[in-house]
Parts: sequence; C-alpha cells; structure tokens
Amino acid sequence: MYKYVLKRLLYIIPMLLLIILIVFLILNITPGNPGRIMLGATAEQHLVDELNASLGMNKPVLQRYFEYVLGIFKLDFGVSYRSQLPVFQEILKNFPTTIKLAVFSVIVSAMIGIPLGIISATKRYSTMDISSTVSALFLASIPEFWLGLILMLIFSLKLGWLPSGGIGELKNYVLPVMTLALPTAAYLLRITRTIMLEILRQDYIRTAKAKGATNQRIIFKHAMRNALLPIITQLGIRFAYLLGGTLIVEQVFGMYGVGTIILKAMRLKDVPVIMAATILLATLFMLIMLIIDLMYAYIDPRIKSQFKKGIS
Amino acid sequence: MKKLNVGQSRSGIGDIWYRFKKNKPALIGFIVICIIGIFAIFADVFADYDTLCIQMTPLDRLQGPSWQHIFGTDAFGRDLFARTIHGARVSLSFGLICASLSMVGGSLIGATAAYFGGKIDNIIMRIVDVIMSIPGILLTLALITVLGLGLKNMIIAMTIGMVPGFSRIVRALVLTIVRQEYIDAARASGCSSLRIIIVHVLPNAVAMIIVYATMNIAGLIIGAASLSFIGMGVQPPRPEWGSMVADATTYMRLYPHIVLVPGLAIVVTALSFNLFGDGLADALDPRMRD
Repeated sequence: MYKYVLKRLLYIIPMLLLIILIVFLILNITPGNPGRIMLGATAEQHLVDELNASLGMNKPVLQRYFEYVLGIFKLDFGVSYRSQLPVFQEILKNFPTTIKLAVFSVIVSAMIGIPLGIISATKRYSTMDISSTVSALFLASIPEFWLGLILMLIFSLKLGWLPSGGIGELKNYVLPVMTLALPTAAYLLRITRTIMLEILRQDYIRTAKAKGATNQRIIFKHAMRNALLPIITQLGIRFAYLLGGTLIVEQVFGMYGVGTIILKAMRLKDVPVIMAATILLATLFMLIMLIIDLMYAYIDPRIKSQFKKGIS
Repeated sequence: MKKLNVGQSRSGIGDIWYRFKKNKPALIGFIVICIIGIFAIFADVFADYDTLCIQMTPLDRLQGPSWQHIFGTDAFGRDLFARTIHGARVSLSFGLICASLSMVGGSLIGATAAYFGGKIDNIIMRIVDVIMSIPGILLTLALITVLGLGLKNMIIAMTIGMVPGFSRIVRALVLTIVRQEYIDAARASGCSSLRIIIVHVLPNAVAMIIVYATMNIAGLIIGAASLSFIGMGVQPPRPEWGSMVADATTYMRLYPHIVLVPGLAIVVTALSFNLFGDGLADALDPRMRD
C-alpha cells in the first residue's frame, strides 16, 4: 500500500516538470519583449534592451526554463511585467474567491445531481426520469455565460432578490454558484444514472433480489456502495475542472478571482502571470486526481487486497 | 458490431439510418441542424452582410421584433436576424472545421500510439495526460495569447486543445482492432505500418470516430461563443453569437430580446447537435446507450 502511494507521489514530479515545460514552451514560442510592455511604447530602445537583458530574455530558452523551475521550488514565479509585483502573492490573494466558487458549486451540484440520478436509474422511464434527463440535456447545451446572464436578468435585474455582482457577502455567491452548479448537476445526473443502471444489471443485484431483499435495501446496501466510488471520481474531476473554469462566470458577475487575473494578464501579454496561474491550476488538477486515486485504493477492498499481495 | 435483424439485410449505412430515424429527438435535431445550415449557407441571400450586419443605423437602435426586423435590432441599429444567420455561418463552420481537424489529428496520434504500443505508446500517452491536466480554457487562451486574436488562430488553438482527448478515445478504439486476426494477416503479407494504420485500422474505427467528433461539435460551438464573449475570440464587427451576447449585456435590463436572440441561437444549435450526436451513437451501436 505504502509502496503504491510512494510510487504515485514520485510519478507526479516528472509530470509536473513536463507541464511546466509545455506551458513554458507555448508561451515562449514567440520571443517576448517584456521591456517594451513594462516601459511603454514611448520608451527609448536602449532602455528596453537593457531591461530585457536584466530579465534574462537573451539567454537560451532551456536555460531560462531551468532557472524558472529552480525559482518555483522557492515559490518564486517571477515578477509581473505589468504591476512589477511578485506573481505568486498576487494570485494567492485572489485564490479564495475562485476556491469558494468551485467548492460551493461542487457541493450544490452533488446535492442536486446525485440523488436525481439515483432516482432516475431506479425508476427508469418514469416521468421523473424523463423530465430530469431532458432538463439535463438542455442544461448541457446552454453556454455558462448566457445561463449566468439569464439568471442575473431574472433574479437580480427583474425581481431584485439577489445582487448581480461583487464578492463581499454570501448572497453575492448565489447566482454565480447556480450558474456553475446547474450544468455540473446535469452532468452528474447523467453519469450517476449510467453508473447505477450498469450496477443494477449485475448478478449480485439479482442474487440480492432473489434472496428477498427489499428494494430499498438493494439500492442503499448493495448498489450505492458500489456506485459511490465512480461517482466520487467524477465529482473530483468536475471540481478540478471548476477550479480552472470559473473564468467566464467571474467575468459575468464581476468577481475578482484567479480567472480574472489570467484574462487580464492575457490581454496585456503578461507572461509570468499567465504561466504561474496555469501551472498552479494544472498542479491542483493533478493533486486532486492523485487524491482520488489514493482514495480508491484506500476505500475499495478489492484494490487494497491487490496491493497487500504485493502486486503493484 | 452486431447487425440487427430487421426483416431484410441492409447495407451498413442503411442499417444505421433505419435505426437513427426511429429516434425522434435525434431526427428533430438533425432537421434543425439542416435548417440552420441552410440559413448559414444562404445567409447572403436572406440578408445582405454589409448593409444589415455591419452598417450602423442609430435611428433604428434597440427596436423590438417587428415585420421589418423580425428579431429586432441591437444597440447600433443592426438587424438581429441578419446578424444571427451570419453568426450561424461563423459558428457552424467553426464547429465543423474544428471537429474535423481534431478528428484527423486525434486519429493519427491515437492510432499510432495503439498500433505501436510499448514505448511509443507510453510517451505519447504521457504527453496527452500532461496536456489534458492543463484546464482546457487556459490552454486555449494561452495559445491565443501567443498566436494572436482572430478566427483562424481560434481554430488552431481550440483544435490543439481537442486533439489529446480525441487521441485517447481513438487509442482505446484502435487497441481493440489491432488484436484482430486480419491485422496479423496484413502484417504477414508485408504491409508497411503506415499502410496498415490507414488502410486496415482506421476504416474500421471511422464510424465511431465520426460519432465522437459529432458529439464534440456542440461543445466546440459553445466554447467558441464563450471565447468571443470574453473578447478573446471573433472580433467585432463580425457577427458572432458570443460577442453579440457580450455587446447586449449593457442594455439587457430594458431590452432583454437582444441578449435572448443570440443566446437562444447557441442553445438551439448546441441542443440539436447533442441530440443528433447521441442518436447517431445509439444507431451505430445500441449497446452504447446509457
């Protein structure tokens, strides 16, 4: 077991180096000119050249990559071309907004999507099943930004129940979280339904039925326990996606989170900021996947016994 | 793939069509796509691009739906119907081009990985893993930052973002094919690897690959609209549904129709493609359902 955990942890290091390399290469295909961005269009050329040189822009790409990686170990992601402040602190300052959005959305969507998915699967082709699958299909076809605007139009501009922007209070989060949670709930509903249907087809469910177990017992004791793991996996994947996907909702509701920082940096070609934010989000994504994998090994007795026998 | 016994034997495509047309939602989706396609192809016939889509006529601004402007006009007095159907042209061609390009790229990479296996497979799939762990929209935006704004660069960026996921699916598909005996036979008769992949492997996977590509079109259209909405996609004054919504946000409190029209256009198109894609998958392989 520990061997497996250790192996997975070690495996993540080369993956992270590769992520950093790919992001680094993408953003450095074109030779940047940070001096020009920092000093403005009217600055004299020799000053721009000097600044570029002091930033190390004339060194070979690979050397710059290694220096960058070494910096990351000291949590030094460089300095923003724009504000000239350390990048890491700026991102960290705005991270709570994004985390809150993602966490709330995942909780809300799980509370809606998973129960509805289970009901849909157990009462297949009922009105409940059909109406929830149809609305799930609808929600999968609505762009997030438009859903956000429509919710804002109804609940904020017309009814005046909720604020249309800001991040101060909890009620500021209601509409953005709904915007993110509804499509996620629709996705979870579809997945839960599929997983449950697959499990209900299994032999051991038939055996339980033959032994005279009640429907309730079959669903909660036999089916749910097996469905939970793949559903949790999907939940984790959605959470990871949401962390990187709050950008558009942040724009719609004027919330200042990591997404806004990234978008702003992209408009200004502020490469260090883009790079740091992308690397941080990708790292988080990998860590979440790792935690899910480890959880699998921990919860599922089948996987656990495999490693006890020493097969890895 | 098991053939359904439906009275008389049918050809592969006839068989698929027979099952597809029994699926009413999918058929409706297909018909709606055709209608939108006709509007997109003949957009210039229905509404002139320069006078109705681009030219601003401030006197006509923010009108509600009427006989002259069936969808009303936007904040610059431009006809929303004209902009919507010209926007359909952008969105549809974007979705189709991106899906086809990522299909070709993903098929080649996925088939190569699955066919050769071993080290090559390992290297390719690790790179795919890495790219897939970068949140999709960030990868696309980073590429656009480097390449610059515009429709062509948007297509390149979105395609690069799509290829890894596609490769993974094709790889899984091809893995089941390369184990078949006729591949051994082809190898024994001296076919080159490239020839085996292109002539023997891919044609047997092509139907499923096309279905996956179709199922991705809705997402691509939504993605393109989202990029345009945040100003990183199609640039004004070119009509695009996402940027039309973005333009409308300032006025949506008093004139909701200008945000409803382009938004509904996206929803209807994406929904139709989703229904069509699901139906196609069902028709091709009934076991894929649920």
